[in-house]
Amino acid sequence: MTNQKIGNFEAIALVLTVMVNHVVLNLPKRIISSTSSGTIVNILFITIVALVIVYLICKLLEKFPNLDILDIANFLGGKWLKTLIGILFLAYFLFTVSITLRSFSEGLKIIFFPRSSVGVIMILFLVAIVITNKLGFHAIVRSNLFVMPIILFSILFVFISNFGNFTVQRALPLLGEGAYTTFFAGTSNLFAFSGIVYLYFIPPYLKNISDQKKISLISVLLSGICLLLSVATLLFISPSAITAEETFPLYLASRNIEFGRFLQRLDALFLLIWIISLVAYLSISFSFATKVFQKLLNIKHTKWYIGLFTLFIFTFSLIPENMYQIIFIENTVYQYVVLVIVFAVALSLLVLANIKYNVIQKKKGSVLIDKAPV
Amino acid sequence: MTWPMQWQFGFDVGESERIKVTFQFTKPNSSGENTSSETAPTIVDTVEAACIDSAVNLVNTFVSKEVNLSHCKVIVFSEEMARQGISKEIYSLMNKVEVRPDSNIIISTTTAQEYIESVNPSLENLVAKFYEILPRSSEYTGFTTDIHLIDFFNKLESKSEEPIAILGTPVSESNESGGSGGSGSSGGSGGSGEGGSSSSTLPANNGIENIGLAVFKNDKLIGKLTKIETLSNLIITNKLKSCRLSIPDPDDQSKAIDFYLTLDTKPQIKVSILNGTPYVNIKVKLNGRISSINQISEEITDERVARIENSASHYLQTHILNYLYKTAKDYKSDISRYW
Repeated sequence: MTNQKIGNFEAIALVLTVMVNHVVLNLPKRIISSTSSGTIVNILFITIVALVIVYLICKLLEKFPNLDILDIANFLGGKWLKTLIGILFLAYFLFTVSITLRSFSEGLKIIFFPRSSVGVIMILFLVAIVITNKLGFHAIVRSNLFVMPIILFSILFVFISNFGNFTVQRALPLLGEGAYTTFFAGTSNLFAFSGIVYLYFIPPYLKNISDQKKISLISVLLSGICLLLSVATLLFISPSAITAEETFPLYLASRNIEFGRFLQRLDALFLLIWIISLVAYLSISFSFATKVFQKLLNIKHTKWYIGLFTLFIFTFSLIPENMYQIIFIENTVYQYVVLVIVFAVALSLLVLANIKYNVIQKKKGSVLIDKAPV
Repeated sequence: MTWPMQWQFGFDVGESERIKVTFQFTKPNSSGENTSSETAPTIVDTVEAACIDSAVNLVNTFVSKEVNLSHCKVIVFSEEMARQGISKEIYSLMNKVEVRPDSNIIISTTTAQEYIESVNPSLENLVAKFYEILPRSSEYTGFTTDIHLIDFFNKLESKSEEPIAILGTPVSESNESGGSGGSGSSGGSGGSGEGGSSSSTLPANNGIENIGLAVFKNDKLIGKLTKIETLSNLIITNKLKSCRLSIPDPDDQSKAIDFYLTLDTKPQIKVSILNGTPYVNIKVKLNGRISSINQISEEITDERVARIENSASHYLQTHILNYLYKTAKDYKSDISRYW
């Protein structure tokens, strides 16, 4: 699999895909409801924090070129730690795919298919995911690179087209409910940068490993800009309407776009773009889940268990009984899962692995020094 | 499958149920069947129900195709209903994905049913086009403003601003009472202020006119603004695109001078607290082109121009002050957005 190397643009698009898809879903709503008018400052703050964290991750990964986090776990604690971390990330990928799939399908059901079963909508997505995964990782990454500029343009277009509807004063007071909420409590909004998770897995796939730092920083910076644009759009139009409605907040913003009497109701077009983008995102996460599974069990062929995973995701997606539970899982549970696994666990693992690496190097060095006089 | 095109619906206070909802549809395929000179026929249906969803359900029982609100352009509330409070309906409408946030909110001085039944788009073949163009006429009349559902909802939720809506009147009604916006209030008595554009001189082909604004305090209607007060609101909120205004000739009060007005710069608003009371200072800069006067331009001296300028400034200042006092003191509703 590692023969399928990916270029810098493909890698950047890979990390960005998580952010843009969650931006289309309920991420801005969650952030605005937690920091109100201080959201703009909060986004700027967490983007800086995310950039610092990513820089740290790149530094920590420097000593393990071409190794992913499972290899590093293997180095740190042997097979048992590799298995533990593998299961953790496998569960993470399956969880995110399941909940994102259900959430988006519910949104589509509300907007276009009120009388259709959500299961049918999910099956259509799952069929697409299975087909793309059969085509292979490289095909998915390439497709994602193709879709990414379109979706980024759609977010920018929604922002620019809504200029006329903006009330910039809605961002006042700048610190919202106070400095504590905006900066300290608001740090939990770091979960928005969950795309960082791919940075732990892409090193073996990069064509040029020396560009890893550049890729990571650019992708996180672009994610921050993308989040800022979408949150600003929603905050300046109508924060109350966004928190009141169950559908995708950016879709609500796109419904306000009109250019005179000639160009109206572009929302359906945006939804089509976002559907394609979501398929790309789900396929990538699904692909990483299968790769982790493959690595854990040392399986050569991936094809047979794709169906198994699809069934698992479908079943898991149907567990939440109502929209309230989905929103709770998507906003609250997902937030803590990201903060714990992507930031706390993975970063700690990298730090410990670096300490172990340094200790080993020191021992090797000391042995050499000891031996030198002899 | 063709859905009946549903262009507007209105809310009245119900007799046997809480609300009476009136729907206006265009006959499916009617636009295709008619010749270009004919206006597409519309159907008006009214039902009484406890809420909007129940009303739609009821309508669905006697129309052969499912009603879809996604084409709705205008939402009309009767004055009686608006005075009782319309937050429940506004929240319901905002929660309905199919209702578009750019639908216009109109408060009818009569019942919503009467307003909808009076619609007669004589210059348009399609009702939809009529509903799109009508609120936008405020860009060149200054008689009302384009208020959307989302604007109304935002202001309803806002702690610093109160909602406003378009004031609509069936023309027969406005003729009887001498004009909706201008009647019975200070702005109307100015006469020359709205002189050349008096509603009573309009041919009653459209059947409705949207002149003036409905002022709310929270979700309840508390008052109405005349044409000149609406113009004052547009000037202060920086929403005036252009309009025509008639003022008395300073040299001959029996005559009028017509202006084509546009905003020169955004109004500068400064608010300070004096003795615990907010003191609002508004600096307005307008461009006025004299569009009709009883002299040819070569005969107008600089002194005469200065007198006309002063007269126009004084005229507008008086009406803006009246508007501000009316909304602040009488209505206690902040619709001017001093920021």
